[in-house]
Formats: sequence, C-alpha cells, structure tokens
Amino acid sequence: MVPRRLIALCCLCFVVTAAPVCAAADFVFTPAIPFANVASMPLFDISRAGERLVAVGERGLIIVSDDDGQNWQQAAVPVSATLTAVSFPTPDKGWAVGHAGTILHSDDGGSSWQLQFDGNAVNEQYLAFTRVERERLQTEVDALQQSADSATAEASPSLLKEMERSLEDAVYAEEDAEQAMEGCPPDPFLDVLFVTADTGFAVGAYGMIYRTEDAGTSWHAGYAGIENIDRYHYYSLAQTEGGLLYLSGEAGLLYRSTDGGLSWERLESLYDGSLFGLLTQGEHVIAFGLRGNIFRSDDRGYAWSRLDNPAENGLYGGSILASGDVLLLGSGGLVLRAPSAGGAFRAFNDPTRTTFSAAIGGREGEVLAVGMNGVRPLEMKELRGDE
Amino acid sequence: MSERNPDVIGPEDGSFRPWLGTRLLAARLPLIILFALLTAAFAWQMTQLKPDASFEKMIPVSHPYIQNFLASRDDLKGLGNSVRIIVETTEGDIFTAEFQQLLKDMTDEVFYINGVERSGLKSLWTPNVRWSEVTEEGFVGGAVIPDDYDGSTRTLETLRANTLKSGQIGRLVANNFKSTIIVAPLMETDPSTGERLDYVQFSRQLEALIRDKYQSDTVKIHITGFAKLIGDLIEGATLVGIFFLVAFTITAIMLFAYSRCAWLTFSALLCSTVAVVWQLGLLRVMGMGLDPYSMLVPFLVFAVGISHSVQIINRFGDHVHHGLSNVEAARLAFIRMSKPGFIALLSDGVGFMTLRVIDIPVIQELAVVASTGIAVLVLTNLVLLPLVLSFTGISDRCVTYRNAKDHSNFGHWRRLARVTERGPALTILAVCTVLFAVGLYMGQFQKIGDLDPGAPELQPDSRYNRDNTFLTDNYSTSTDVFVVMAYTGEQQCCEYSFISGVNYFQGVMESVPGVQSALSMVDVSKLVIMGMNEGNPKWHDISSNRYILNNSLSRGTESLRNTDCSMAPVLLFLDDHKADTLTTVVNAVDTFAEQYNSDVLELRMAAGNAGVEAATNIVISQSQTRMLLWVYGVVILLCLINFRSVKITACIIIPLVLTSVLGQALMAALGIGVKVATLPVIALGVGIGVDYGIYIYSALQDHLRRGAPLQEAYFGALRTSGTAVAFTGLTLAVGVGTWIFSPIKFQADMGLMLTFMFFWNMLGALLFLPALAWLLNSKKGAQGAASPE
Repeated sequence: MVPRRLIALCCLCFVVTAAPVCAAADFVFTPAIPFANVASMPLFDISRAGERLVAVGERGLIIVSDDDGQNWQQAAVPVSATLTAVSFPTPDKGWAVGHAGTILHSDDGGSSWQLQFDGNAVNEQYLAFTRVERERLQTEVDALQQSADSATAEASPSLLKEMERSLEDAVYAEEDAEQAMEGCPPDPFLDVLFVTADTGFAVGAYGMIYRTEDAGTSWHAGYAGIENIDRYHYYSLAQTEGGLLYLSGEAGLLYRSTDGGLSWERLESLYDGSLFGLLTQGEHVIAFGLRGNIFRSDDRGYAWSRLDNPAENGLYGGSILASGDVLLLGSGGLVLRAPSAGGAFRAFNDPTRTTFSAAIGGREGEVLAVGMNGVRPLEMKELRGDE
Repeated sequence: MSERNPDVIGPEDGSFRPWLGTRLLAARLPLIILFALLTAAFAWQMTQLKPDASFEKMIPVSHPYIQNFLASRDDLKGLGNSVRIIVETTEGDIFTAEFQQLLKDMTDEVFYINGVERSGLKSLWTPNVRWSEVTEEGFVGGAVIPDDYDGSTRTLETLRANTLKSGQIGRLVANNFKSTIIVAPLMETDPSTGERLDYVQFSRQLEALIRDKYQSDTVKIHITGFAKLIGDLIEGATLVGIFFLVAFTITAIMLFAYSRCAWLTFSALLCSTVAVVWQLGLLRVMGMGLDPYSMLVPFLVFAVGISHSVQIINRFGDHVHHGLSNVEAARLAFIRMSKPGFIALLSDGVGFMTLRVIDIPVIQELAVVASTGIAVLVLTNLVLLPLVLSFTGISDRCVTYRNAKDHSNFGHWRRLARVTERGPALTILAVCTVLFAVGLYMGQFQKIGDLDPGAPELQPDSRYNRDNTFLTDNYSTSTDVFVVMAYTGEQQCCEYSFISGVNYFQGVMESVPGVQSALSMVDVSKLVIMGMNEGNPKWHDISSNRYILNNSLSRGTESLRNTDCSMAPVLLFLDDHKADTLTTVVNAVDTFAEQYNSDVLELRMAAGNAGVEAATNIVISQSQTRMLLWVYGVVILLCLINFRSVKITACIIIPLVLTSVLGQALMAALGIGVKVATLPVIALGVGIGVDYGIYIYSALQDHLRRGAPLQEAYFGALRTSGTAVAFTGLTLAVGVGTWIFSPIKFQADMGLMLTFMFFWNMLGALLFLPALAWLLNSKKGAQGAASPE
C-alpha cells in the first residue's frame, strides 16, 4: 500500500512542477508566425545590436535590419507572445521581454531566439515569495502575541494590530498567487535592461521585477528589495554613466538604486500619473509619461524640475540622439524634440497620427520610430527648422 | 428538280399533322380570338410584374458555407446593412464652418429618411461619435462637436483636436481630412408596418434628398452600401426595356430586308412579341419577379421566336409564290415546319433545363423560366403564326421580289458549297484544328469568379464603383470582407482559451497573402486593455486574467458576437475578391481548422461578400464540367434520335464544341470570369446552336438521300435553309447583342458571350459542318467527285 502522505506529496509535486491547466497558453508558446509585411506590424521597442537594428512587437515578432532600416528580416522566435522591450548589451547577446512573462535570449545578434523564462516561472517565484513573506509575518505576529500574552511592558497593541493587518494582506497575496498558478500567465514584462553581458533586469506589470547575474541562466525575483505594496506596474529602467539605476512606473512610481539593483529606494513623488519612460544623459535623467508630463533631474535624482511641453499627449518612448538632442514620442503621432544644449521642446505630429512607442537614431541624423503602424522614418524638418 | 411536288401533301408528312393543320385552320377565327384574349390576360399580369433582386437567389444556398452563413444570419446582422454617404470638399479640409453646417444639415436629412435605423446613425454630428483621453483620474471624453460650437476658428480647432482624439481617422474621417462619412445603418423591415425595405425607393430618396440637393462645385457626394448597390442594379436593369426596343427595331428592319414584305414582317414580330408577353405574364402567374438574370429570357424568347418565324414565313412565302391560296399555304407551312420546329424547340428547352444541375437558385429559375418561354413559342410561333399568315397573306411586291430571287443563280451559295471539295474542306479542317488548339490553350487561363474590383455586378466605371474606389482610396477600409465564424460553447465567448485561439487565428490569417487585416472582438479587447492602461501601446494585447478580459469585452462588442456568446465573427479584409485570393484564404482557414478545431474553438466558413463569393466559386467550378456533360449529353442524344447516325451527330456536335472552346478562350482573353452570369451562357449557346446544325443537316440529308453528290446536296441545302440559318444567327446575335451596352456588368458579359456564341455557331454550321461531312463521307464524297457532273 502506498502511504497516504506519499500520495499527497505526489499531488503537491504535480501541482507545483507540472504545467498549469492552461490549454490556450499553447498559442502564446507557439512559434511566431512568419509575416510578410513585417515592418508595418505593431512594434513596441527598437534597439541596436552593434550596427544592426532589432525591433520587437506584436505576436512574437522580432525583426532585424543590417542596412539601417531599409530592409527587415523576421527572426526565428519560439513564442507568439507580444513583445514589449529589447536590450543588447553586446552586438551578439540580447534579451527581449513581453507578455505572458516571457524572456527571450539571442546569442547571434537577434537572428534566433530561445525562451529563457516565462510567466509560469514568474507565478512559481511569486508564490514562493508570498509564502516566505506570510511565514515571516506569521512568526513576527506570533512573537508579538506571545509578548502581549506575557504582558511585558514593551508590548504595543497598535503594532500588533498593524502586523496582523499586514499578515492578513500577506495571506490574501499568497492565495492570489496560488490562484494564479491555476490559470495562464497573464502579466507582461514591460522593460528589460542589461547593464553588462551577464547582469540584467526585467520589470513589468503588477510589480514584476526579476534579475539575473548569469546571463539569464537563472532569473531571480527581486520583490524583496523594493517596496510596492499596491503592485503598480513598472514601465522603464535606465542606467546613468556613473552606474546609478532608475526605475519608473505607474502612479508616479520612481526608484533609484545605488547598489546595482539589489535594493531600490523610492524617490519623492513628482506626479500622480504614470511615468512611462526614462532617459539618461551622463548623470542627467529625464522621466516622462502620461499627459505630456516631463521631469528632469541634474543631481542624481534628488531635485526634479518639470519641463514645458506644448502638447498634452501621453509620451510612451524616447531616445537621446547622437547629437545629444532629446526626442520623445507618444500618442497621435506626437514627436517632441529638444536641443542638447537645453531649451524648449518643439512638437510636431507625424501625418500618420499613429501612436509611437520607441525611437532610435539612424544614419545621417535620421530617426526611426516604431509604434502601432510599425517602423516609421521620421520627417524631422519641422523640428530642425532652426538649424 | 425533285420528283415530288412540294406544294402537295405527301406520305412523308404523315397523317396527324395534315389532320391537325386542317382542324386548326378551320377554326382560325375563334382560335385567334382565344389567343388575343389570353394575350390580354397575360399582358395584364405582366404589368403587375415587379423587378426583383434577391440576394439569396444569387448564392448557392445548399453549399455548406452558405448554410453556415444562413444559420448565423441573425447573429451577423450587426455587421451589416448600412449605407455610407461620403461628403467630400474640394477646397481645403472639412474643418470649416460652411462644411460643418452642410454636414449637420445632411445628417439631419438622413436621420429622417425611411429605413434608416436612427439610433445607429453616425457622423461627426451625432452624439455617438466621441473622443476620449486618458488622464491621471481615468478616462475623460465627450462628443467630438464641442458643446459651445459656434463655427468660430477656436471651436473649429477644438473640433479638429477632438476628431484626432476620437480614433475616427481612416474610419469616419478620411486620412487626408478632405472628406467625412455619414454612416446610416438600415432596418430590413419597417418595425411599424412590417414591410420590407424597398431598396429602389430608398436609393432614389438618397439621390434626391442627398446627392442632388447637396452636391455642388466644391462639395462632392459619394454613396456606397448594399442598399445603394441593389437600387442601382434594379435601376440599371430597367434600362433593359430600351435594349428590347432597340433589338426589336433592328430585328424588324432585318426581317423586312430579308422578306421585303410588310405583312410577313408584321406577323413574325407580332407572334414573337405575343410569346414574350405570355412568358412574362406566366412569370408573374408562377409568383416570380423579374430579376436581372431572368431579364435575359424575353430577349432569348423573342430571338428564338423570330428565327422560327423566319422558317415558317419563308415556307409560307414559297407556297404562295407557287400560286397556293393563303389558307392552303398556311396549312402546308404548318404541316411542313411544325415537326423540325418542334424538335428544335424541344432541344432548346431541354438544353435550358440542364441548367438546373447548377445549385444556384437564380440559374435554376432561369432554366425554368427559359423553358417555359420555349414552350410558349410552340403555341405562338408554330400555331398562331400560320393562322395569322392565313389572314394577312403576302403582298404582290413581295412575290415579285421572290420571283427575282428564285431566278438568280445563287452564286454566293454555290461558292460556299465548294467547302465540300477536298481543298477547301481540308483548309477549313486545318484552320478549325488550329482554332481548337488555340482555344484549348487559351482556355486554360480562364478564371473562376469575378475579376474586377468593387461591386462586380456593375461596370467598373459606374458611379457606384467610382464612389466605392473613393472610399477604399481615402479610408482605411476594404470592401472585400471574408467572414469566418468562430464558435464555442454557450456563454463561453469571453473565455481566455477561446479568445486566445481567435487571436492566434487572426495572426495566422494576417500572414496569408491577400489578407490585409483581420478584425474581431479580440481587437476590441486589446484596445480596451490598452486604454485601461493609459493608452500605452505595450499593453495592446489580450489578457488571460478573467476579470480584465471580461471587463475588456463588456462593451462595444455587441455586433461582434452573438447574443448567447457562443459565436464571434472574424472579419478578414482582403485585397480583392479574385478567385485565387479567395482560394488561398479558404485553404488557409481549412488548414487552421484542421489543426486547431476543438470543443473550445470551432471555425466555420463563411459570410461576408467575399465568403459568399468563395462558396459561389466553388459551386461554379464544380458545376461547369457537370453542366457541359449534361447539355452535350442531351443534344447528342437528341441528334442520335433524330438522325440515327453517329457520323451525322459528330458533324453537328463538333462545330458546337469548337464554339464552346473558343468561348472559353474569349472569356480568358477578355478577363471575363466564369460566374453565375456567364456559366449558363455556354448551355444556352449549345442548346440554341444545335438548331442550325439540325436544320442544315436535315436539308443536306434530304438531298443526299435522293442520290445527289455531297457538293450538289449541300448547295441544295443552302438554297432552302442557308439563308434562314444565316438570318437566324444574325437575329439571335442582334437580340442579345444590345446587352453589351447594359450598365450592369454581368448582363453585358452575358450579352457579349451569347452574341459571340450564336454567331460562331452559325459559322460553324455553315462552314465547319460541311467540311466535316466531307471528311466523314470521304468515300461517298470521292465517288461524287469522280462521277462526271
């Protein structure tokens, strides 16, 4: 007879290790469909792998160009999840992240990709984190209760109440995490940043934050090092020349890390709306987001000033051009450009009125934007009018 | 000359026909009065006949795709039947006070047109067109027309900004801001009266109240939509009346030129017209309307009637010319012509009936209607005509003309008869062999389906199609829509497993060449999720989170799913509706369905204009061979029964095959696809074309039997029947030839093809048939040539 405990253990093993009941996830984890007009499909981020351009977008689409955006080829990608961000620390090694918690890796400059991490692993790690957190709080509450029972003078009823509330939250969080294990992995990563060829971060919806130090062989949850009780989304990561890391997100979230991303300190709230993007220039940092809000700090993130902007569209991406000019892009085809020397942003609307998500400088001052309508070379005449 | 006297009844006339002829002519007055009364009754019925263009009749209703479509028809209604009125300014853009005032007035005007579903009316001036924006507090929005709109530059600027934020660029407002659309959804039935929407009336109202009233030098109006198309189609079809008059006039002139006799011309026209009246009256009695396809039938009936009349008046004229009384001549004409006439009409009618094998109601109806018309001809032209002739007689001038003709040496027929000599016969056979080869080669390029962009029913440069081109050029939309219905369990259409499958399906279809884009409730979900996340495009995707997904599908998806949430249509917008494109799409959907259909997701084809056309193409390509086998089978059988000779049957059928092959080559060369309209043409061409062969060979056989050598026999056949055959070919060609000028594309295509086939069949019967006869009778022919003349 098989001992009952063994059966229970096996069931547990099954629950924890086997793929969750999610037939439809097959579609997300189906290799990307080969498309014909790859450059006009929705694309959300663009980056350079050495000289090569790599852009990522909807339905697992990754496209590469070796002639500065004249011609594009679709790369072989093992997933059909929508991809949101791409980062190449070296010309060969790169990572792309996206929906369903996918993290993809390329060793050949973006020509082919392998799946390194996915939402099922996210769910497991998050469950493990909530479990540890609940146990920790449980221990603390137990200890507090014991001291309350023994009626020592230091016992504080209000502290106990507060801890109990935290414990209750932690229990709910664990239950949520358990429930998430049963469904398909829902949440997207929204940005990826590799600071070296081995060390990188992936951040995303509902406070997802993961870190690797071995080029993605293993990804570790970074929930412990950051405070985000409401589980707001993280939207953007950036590093300054001096190695400072910034992280921005929903509801005005803004963090700085001085220890290479192990721990994050929350910066004073500048704004209630989302900060979708961060750009760094030397030690300067620019944060931008909803309704055309742009902020800049020149002192390692202590003091921030709001920059004037003639338009009120949401700003979703940007780039520092080779000239040092700052370029920001957003909804309705809005493009903003400010000269490197500092000075006001000038605005123009691309005639397509399509929403842009990212941009990169091409050759001879040309700029390639990507967005809902794919790759779009920007006519910058209006913005360079005074040159 | 022959031994027997043609003016006396002989044993070969049998006993029944002389008896019947005598009886008929004895009762000629009462019979004519009876015919007159019946004609009056049918004429009254005819005036009640209504033009009719039922969409359902033009599609292969028993094809599984169409069955699927009809089963889900109510659920797909939301995709539906609307009219787009595009208002274009030629000066500046639409953001001027004058233009907006005009647009407001027009919107109000459209609102009150009967048949418009008012709550769904959409333009910049209706409150359901809104802009929205994400702010720190959530969504804000409003109607695109600012509350304080007063036509000032400031409020116009606000309007422009709101329009940009409304997401209507490319949908309601042109990409170049020079035009905007008023979308008017229609109600199929009037809820107060329960009456069906009268498309013709509606279309006329649009013309009068909108286009005529508001179009000016600086403002152009374009109107598209199914209702307008049907309206235009019926309006165009009524032009057919004018074509009929033209065909009638040309035929009258030709008849007179041929007979030089006013009475004979009058009698032939009268009886053929009576046949048309009866046929149209019967249509109404059978409870049918006159659809744009069956409008062909009166022309055919008239032309076939005239061609048989020619045989009869020819014979009647001969008898009178030989000195017989009118009554006696009419009796003899009836006795002699009723048998071959009946057999020829029978072969026409049976030929038409073979069209019933095509599983498309409109063609099956055409078969019935045309066969009825042919049956009517038996009465009006074989019976009524001799009776009328017995009264009218023939004028003296006509007799003189006939005398002169009789005494000419028929030089042209003598020359033509030389095609039965070795040299000319071989030449003709060689030429025909080459034509066969060319025809077969070209025929490979024949395409199934419609090949032109826009509404294939109308000419490519018709106003409707120009309006349609304007729409597709200036807006982000395609008018060729292929709808795949994605089924799942009841109340399961918001489940992630289903949505995810549909999403992947759309991705696969978007990668198929010819598919521009795909649209379903999945796209609504993606946009709402993106909106819920402050418009950030990185969120443009579905979510497996049940709450987020349900929330994203809770509004704005009513028209993109059925009421019990078990089906979501996926709209595929195509480059065009060419058969190749449709085949590629159908194959891609099939492949996907084979691999992924399950309890959760089951894909069924097909709706939308392109889906229906795909099914029609499949049915047509399957039917083409079947129909050809049937129609040839039937005419071969009739020939075998009539002549009891394989050789003769071959002589008659092979020229018809050549015409069919050349007809297919012509279609390939002119870019006319095989479609509902052109498929019946080949059957009609063969069915009527076989007449010539029967007439010519009957006469030829007659002379051969009497021992004449082939060339002499053929000359004799030409003398008696050649003129009539040539004339018949011309009248038939003229009768349908006027259709080439129809504003309705498929009528023009039908007219062109029929004219071509009738004309070539005549040439085939006069040239190819005798050459074949020489080949197959070469022994006899050689003997004939060897024997001294």
